[in-house]
Amino acid sequence: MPVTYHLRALICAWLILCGVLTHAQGKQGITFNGKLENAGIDQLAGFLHAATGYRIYYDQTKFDSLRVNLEFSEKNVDWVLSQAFLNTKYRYAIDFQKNVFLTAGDEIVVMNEGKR
Amino acid sequence: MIDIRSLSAGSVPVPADLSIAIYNADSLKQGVQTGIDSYLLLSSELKGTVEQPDFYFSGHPEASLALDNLMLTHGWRRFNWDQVLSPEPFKPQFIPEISYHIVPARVTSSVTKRPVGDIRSYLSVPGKSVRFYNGTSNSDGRVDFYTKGLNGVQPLVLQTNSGDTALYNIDLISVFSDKYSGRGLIPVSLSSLPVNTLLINSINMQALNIYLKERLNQFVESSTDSVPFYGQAKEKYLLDDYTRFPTVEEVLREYVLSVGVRRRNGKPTMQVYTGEVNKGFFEEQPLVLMDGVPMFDRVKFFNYEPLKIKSVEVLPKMYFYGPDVYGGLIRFSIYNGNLDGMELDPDASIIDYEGLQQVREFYSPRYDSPDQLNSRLPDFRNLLFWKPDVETGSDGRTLLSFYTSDRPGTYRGVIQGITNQGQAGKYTFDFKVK
Repeated sequence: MPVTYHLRALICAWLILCGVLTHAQGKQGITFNGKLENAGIDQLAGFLHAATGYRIYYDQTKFDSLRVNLEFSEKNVDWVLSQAFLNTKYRYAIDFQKNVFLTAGDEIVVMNEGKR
Repeated sequence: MIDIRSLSAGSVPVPADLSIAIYNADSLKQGVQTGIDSYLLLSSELKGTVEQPDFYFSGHPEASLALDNLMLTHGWRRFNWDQVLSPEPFKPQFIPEISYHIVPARVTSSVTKRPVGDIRSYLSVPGKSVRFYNGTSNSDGRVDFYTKGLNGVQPLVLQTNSGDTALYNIDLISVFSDKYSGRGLIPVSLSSLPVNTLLINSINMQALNIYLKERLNQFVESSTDSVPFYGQAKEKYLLDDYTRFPTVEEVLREYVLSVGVRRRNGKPTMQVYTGEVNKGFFEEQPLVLMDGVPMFDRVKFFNYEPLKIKSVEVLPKMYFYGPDVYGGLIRFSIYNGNLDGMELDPDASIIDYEGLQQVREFYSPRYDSPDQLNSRLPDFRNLLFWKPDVETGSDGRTLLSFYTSDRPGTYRGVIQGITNQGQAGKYTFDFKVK
């Protein structure tokens, strides 16, 4: 029976690992590496879309003064945007359908407070 | 692109006036919706609520019997026989406004507070273009002003011609009926919707309001007639072209040719010269307008600061306007066009009036150019197309085009209308956006 025992142990370990990975991804979202140098809004949005597949929405005319310089590894969209918009008037919101809304001043409320 | 054809009962193409709306039907309750045909033939004539009126015209085997029963139980009468047999002619409470917007007002005595009849009354809109209307109160004190171009919120000046005495009060009468239909709307129950649907709708609405705020609030530019009711004046004086004088009286005496200033009982008056030898001045008083508002109290007018006046126009003719006869017309325009500091007559009242609502332009994005195609603005509209005035041609056909939004789901189109022969119809269709 050692083969069956090992198989069971393997399956259990795989299930536990899957659970941990899934949990990490659910909390963190997709993580990725990147380097942005003097990037405008179109470059930033294009980069995030390519890395995550999220749909990025914004009004180009409101972001003409934005320049982003960042270098990072294993970070998610939330982190990148929070750093890119640090100390600026720009805001972002990510909804559960993987839409990212970049706004100037106004903020979109995407959380369902009752379900948080 | 949708291809619309309007056909009569015999499948013959006929021109028709239609309305069309295409909207997301995913989160809407499937409530009872009345079509134009069932409304015109049934709901508009019967008292009380008719449940599912479309059923009676659905062709269902029981529909005909149900219709008979409905008529029997509702006690249908096309005419109100009390009104038909009454010796008094029928007086509608609200007259159809085909060419004019009617602004009703009531004249009351400032002493007795009772309505007063046969009082000449005036309505004017202060501004750079002249909008001035007059009328006479009836025995109920009511006077109707037939106005044009009263769009949006505007200040109205209501007054009588009692000059420096406050004999009368004049107030607006509401133009809206205070009787409400007993027909209720379908109640909205948010708790019956899935939480995610509510959240998606909330996010979409926020996105629309933030990204497309200006485009959602666009109005069709209303055309206002800049030509005053009297046409072109014969004389026009831009006061900056002349020596500035310290009083209005001096301005008129020095270079306004057709206007004579006289004093009667110590008070200054204006008279307009007829322009004819041996006839002198018109006996009738001229109409004096300042920024479109009539000035009956001449003393107050002559004390006005002349440096604020931009121009003076004179029409040296007898002028008949409604029930009034004027010996000429003198129009003063102030630089900023809002009566700048001019004190109105004591019986005048200024009211902010909400006139005809401006025609709103329905926002429907286009993706014709590369810039529009590459736009990163979200398009989460749930109402894809709305047009209340679609007309089909003599072949009963018209083509309409619109873009769907980024929001997937089931969409419903509702077309309703009436042919030029009076046949009403309704058509609905569904499609999916993936």
